[in-house]
Amino acid sequence: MHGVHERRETMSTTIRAVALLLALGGLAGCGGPKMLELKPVEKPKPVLTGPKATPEEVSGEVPALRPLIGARALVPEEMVPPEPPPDPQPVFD
Amino acid sequence: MRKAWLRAGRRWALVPVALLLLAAPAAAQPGGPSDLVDRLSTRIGGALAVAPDDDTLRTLDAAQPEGERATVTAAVMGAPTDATDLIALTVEMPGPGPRLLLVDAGAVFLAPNGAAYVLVPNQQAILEQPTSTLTFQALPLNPDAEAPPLGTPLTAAWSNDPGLIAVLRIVQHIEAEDSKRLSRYVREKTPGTFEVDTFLDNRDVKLARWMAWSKNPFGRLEARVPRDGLRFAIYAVTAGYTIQETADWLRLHRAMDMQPAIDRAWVIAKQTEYLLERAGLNFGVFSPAHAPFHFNQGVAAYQRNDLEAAAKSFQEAKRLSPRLADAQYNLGVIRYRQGDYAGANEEFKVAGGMDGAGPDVFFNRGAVLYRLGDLLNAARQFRTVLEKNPKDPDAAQWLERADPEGKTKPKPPPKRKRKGRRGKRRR
Repeated sequence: MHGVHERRETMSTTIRAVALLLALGGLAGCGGPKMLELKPVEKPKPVLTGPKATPEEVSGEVPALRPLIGARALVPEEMVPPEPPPDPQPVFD
Repeated sequence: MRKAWLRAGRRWALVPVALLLLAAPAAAQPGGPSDLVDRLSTRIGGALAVAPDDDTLRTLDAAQPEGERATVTAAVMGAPTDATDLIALTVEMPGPGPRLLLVDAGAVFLAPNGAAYVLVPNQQAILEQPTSTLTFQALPLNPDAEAPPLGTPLTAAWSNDPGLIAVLRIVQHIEAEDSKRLSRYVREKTPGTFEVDTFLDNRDVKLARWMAWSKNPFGRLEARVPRDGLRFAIYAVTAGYTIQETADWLRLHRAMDMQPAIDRAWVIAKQTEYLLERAGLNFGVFSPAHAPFHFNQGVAAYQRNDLEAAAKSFQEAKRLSPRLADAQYNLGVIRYRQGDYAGANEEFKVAGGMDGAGPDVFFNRGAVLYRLGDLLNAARQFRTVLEKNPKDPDAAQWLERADPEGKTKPKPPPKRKRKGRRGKRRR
């Protein structure tokens, strides 16, 4: 019995220690939200995209015109660069 | 030598860099030929070693190689010519030589001020000593960034830009493989001077005339792609350069007058377009000889609200490429934005008859006709849109408003009369 009683005391001490650690962790975590705070993403200023729609289009009296077709890209979207030529044979004469 | 360059007003920068090269690919067989070749582009790790001047740089202790890694401690970079910058690397070999160091596509150096440099591909060096100092040619990637000042460290990196890799790989192919084929046109006029000796004038001969020929130590003809063409091909893929910016660059950096700069830009443009075309890129956006160039100029003019200039550019694009349906469509958009609705209708009508006309062409014509009060014809255009894209919600909505009674609904095809059976089965 004595042994069991002693073990209970030991367990209680462990639980208290764990609780203390959790509490400390929680307190330490109070500084966390500041680090994790979401900041607004800086968006680039809107560039000129051409003439504005007419008031009739905006008000919905007439259909809104579909936009201009944009610039042609120099590099295709699905570009696969060519394989490199084989390694040259080293000549050490 | 260095003072002479400074007197000439050329930029100098001391650039200490340290990079790590893996000694050999893991799949390479020990002792095989590829075990002796280091490809620079795929072997760059990158720690930096800062040195204030050349002498200190030379005395720097290279980092101890780890396992099979060779160490490259860097470099002096300057601009001995206005066409190519130089980067000198000090290479430490991990084991016994000799080895071949190959510079291929992708080796890039970044400066803190935004300047970036790519090593010209297909440069080779034989490493024989435990430590070798090698000078490699480099080209800037950002034409507007200032050269880094003396002593600025560069970060070693490698590029994953598909356009840049494609251009550099094509230069590798041309110099390593095509030049063997082209060398039959080349004759050594006097020792050290070469000329293309043929009456032919095909693309191969033109390329052979552009290239810089020399003989290697083994007496074989070697060719290098013209640096200006490569420079502006790289500018085109990294900074969106066109021939106009090329002429401006020549005027600014080479102090050329207007007309000589324009003439020179046209010569460079042909070389640049050749490289871009060989690399599988849309080379037509580079110079005004092609419709896509004017198309892009038109888009740029439209975005800055210069509708007259935009219309001229799209008309020029259409003149060069009459089947360019997108240019015709954009002309219709411009007419609409100019308030010329009848003109817009005509432009969209022409665009609708061209190959490759998308549903937007018919929707916009429908929008113009709706605006002009021709509701039934507008409804017919919206029906065409729905034929091409049945899920277009706008077209369905405006069709309902233009033709609520369904007058434009196509009539069902007349039923064909069933023909009587020919053979009488009655017996």
